[in-house]
Amino acid sequence: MSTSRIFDIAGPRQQRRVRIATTVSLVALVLVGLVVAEKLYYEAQFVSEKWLVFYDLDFIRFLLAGLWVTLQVCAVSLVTSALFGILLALGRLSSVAVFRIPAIGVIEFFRAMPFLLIVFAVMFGLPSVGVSMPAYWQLVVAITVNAGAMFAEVFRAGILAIPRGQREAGLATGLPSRHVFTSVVFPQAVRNTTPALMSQAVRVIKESSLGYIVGVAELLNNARVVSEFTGNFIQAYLAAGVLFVVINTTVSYLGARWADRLESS
Amino acid sequence: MDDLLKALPGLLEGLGVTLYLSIPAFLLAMVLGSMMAIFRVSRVRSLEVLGTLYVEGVRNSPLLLILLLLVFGLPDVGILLPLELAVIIGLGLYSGTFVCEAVRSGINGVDVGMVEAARASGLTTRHVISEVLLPVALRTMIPPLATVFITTVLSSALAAAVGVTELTGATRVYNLVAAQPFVAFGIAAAGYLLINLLIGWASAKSERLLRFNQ
Amino acid sequence: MMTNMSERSPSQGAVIELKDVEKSFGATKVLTGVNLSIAKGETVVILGPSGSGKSTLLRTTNRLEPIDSGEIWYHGKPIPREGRELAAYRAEVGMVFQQFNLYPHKTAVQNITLAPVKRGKQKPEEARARALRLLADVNLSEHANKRPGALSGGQQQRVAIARAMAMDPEVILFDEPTSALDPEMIQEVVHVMKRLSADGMTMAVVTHEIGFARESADRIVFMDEGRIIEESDPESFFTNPRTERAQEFLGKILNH
Repeated sequence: MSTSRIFDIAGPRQQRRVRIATTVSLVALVLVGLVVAEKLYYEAQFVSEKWLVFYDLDFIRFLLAGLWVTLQVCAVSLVTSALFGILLALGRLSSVAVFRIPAIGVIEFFRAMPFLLIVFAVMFGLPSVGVSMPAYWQLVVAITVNAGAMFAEVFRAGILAIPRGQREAGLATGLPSRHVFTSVVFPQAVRNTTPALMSQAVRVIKESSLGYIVGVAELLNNARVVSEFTGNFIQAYLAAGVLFVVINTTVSYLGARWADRLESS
Repeated sequence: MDDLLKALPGLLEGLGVTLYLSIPAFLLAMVLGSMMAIFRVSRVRSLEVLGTLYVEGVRNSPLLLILLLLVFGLPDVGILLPLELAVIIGLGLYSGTFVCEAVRSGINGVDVGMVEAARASGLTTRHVISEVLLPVALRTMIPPLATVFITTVLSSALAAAVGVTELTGATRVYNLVAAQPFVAFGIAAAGYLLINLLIGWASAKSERLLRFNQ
Repeated sequence: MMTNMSERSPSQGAVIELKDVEKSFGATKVLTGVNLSIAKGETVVILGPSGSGKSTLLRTTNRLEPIDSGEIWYHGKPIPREGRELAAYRAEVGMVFQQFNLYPHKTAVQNITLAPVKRGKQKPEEARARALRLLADVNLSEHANKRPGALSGGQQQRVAIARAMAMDPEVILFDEPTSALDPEMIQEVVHVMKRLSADGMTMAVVTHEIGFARESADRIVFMDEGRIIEESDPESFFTNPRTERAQEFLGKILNH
């Protein structure tokens, strides 16, 4: 809507130009599609057995089992990350330096690290200092550390966005400061940050695909098993990709809906 | 100290590979993302749809999956790319979606009144875009694009999962050989922190240089 | 003057003429059967309560908003709808906005020279010399190389007027030029506008500055709910408004 205000409303000549561009680009896209299809056909990718994973119930069930683990990992990680994130956010907002400075350090450090490096540190670093755990928990811990730092910043922004006056009003009614936080500030912060948290959830779902590295039988890892078993890499990963895109688009959509509702209320 | 000296060459080489992957990937992402952003604000419906499909499809897939498709899938259709090139393409495709969103919100965030003033002054659409819209929008895009660049560097670590020994991969290799997790992960962490700080500093610097109120 | 003008052909001497202009935003009708003509050298002040369609009227005049039906003529020809022709027409019709809308990345001088240089009307040195003269006219010589962010609202608006003047336009449209200004800055802008009017510039001004309207307007156009409901000289409009809505409006703004 805003772009239509940046440029002049199209007159008849421009409308004609847009129609021509639409036609030309459609033709170009169809041509590209045909070239790809021809290549796929030539490489015998259209043989129905290659697409087994899309219609064979056993394969589908196997991938869905992976998806179920993905969702479990994400559900657990979201809870642990949120808790860790809240802790870090409170630390960073604290007026006590002993809490604040380590919190800032942890947040900034983990935000600057690649997720895979954290995964490797949990997989190979922790055992050498005597901390070992099953693969499932290695994945959850890695996600928690990384996503917790992200969540902390989201929560912090959410808490800072609550008008000061509300906190003061709460204190003025005689609520102790701890209760003002839990009953006035915190619920609103959660409500306002939900859209941002949803996009972090998408991130967590994508990160859980590193079960492939850690050895957790989640969606991507199961897709790898299928690809190696059938020898059809493209189809196996495409199938997993479809499931990831469906789940993530749904979560993003819900986040956007929530954001719309916040704006209109 | 000895351990440090033994670890350094391999890890520095890894750092080099990280940059070798992420800089071209970010450039590719800039080109692709800007193009898709233009598609998405154009009035050509078919291109808008293409841009939306690209962003929603790629952004919602795990990068590792995209890399696996390129590295193991492409050979199945007779396309054999050098490993690094496949990673650069995958990383560029993935980061391109974030560039697209940064560019799009930069354009949409431009003050409409200012653009109207430019149109009302008799400038043609081309000049409105090149003299007013882009110079102003580009400034607001610097911080989000710097974040995308940082994300690209961090995401390039996934190259290790498909067999490229960049910084994260080199860390793992060194740790396997020497069993020195503190040295290995410490150096790698320092390397990534350094890149983060450098990009952050460059972004802040260029933003200050281009600030309007002088 | 509220005669039915729908049968009229482009009138002699009118620079700009609107005929039966209608405009809606979605389901809201903002302009209904608007007829208006502005003659060479005339200063027309458009008054009316907020939401009466004054701004939209100005914005349709240089096609920042396209109209749904009716016609807008410039020297007896319909205004162009798009492209270079539209840009060329807009170069003849300057506009000054409520929010100044200066280019934040360019200095005062660059704001003024951009359009003349890019349109190939003036060479860069020529444009710069002229911009400095225009800035001197609005008492801003010492601010020539400052960016808008370093200028006050009143100074920005005077730069914006100089920018509009730089194209040597035949008409300038003023869309509430003083509404976003602090009270102490209003007069410096009004002063410039009064001088322009006295110099014979053709102007259409949407404003709430009654002082300007009384002193400089050749004609007052009063709008309400998207229609022009009264059109007269300032003297009779302010002393003896004919419509109830105009009386009400004047009562409110004169007694506040």
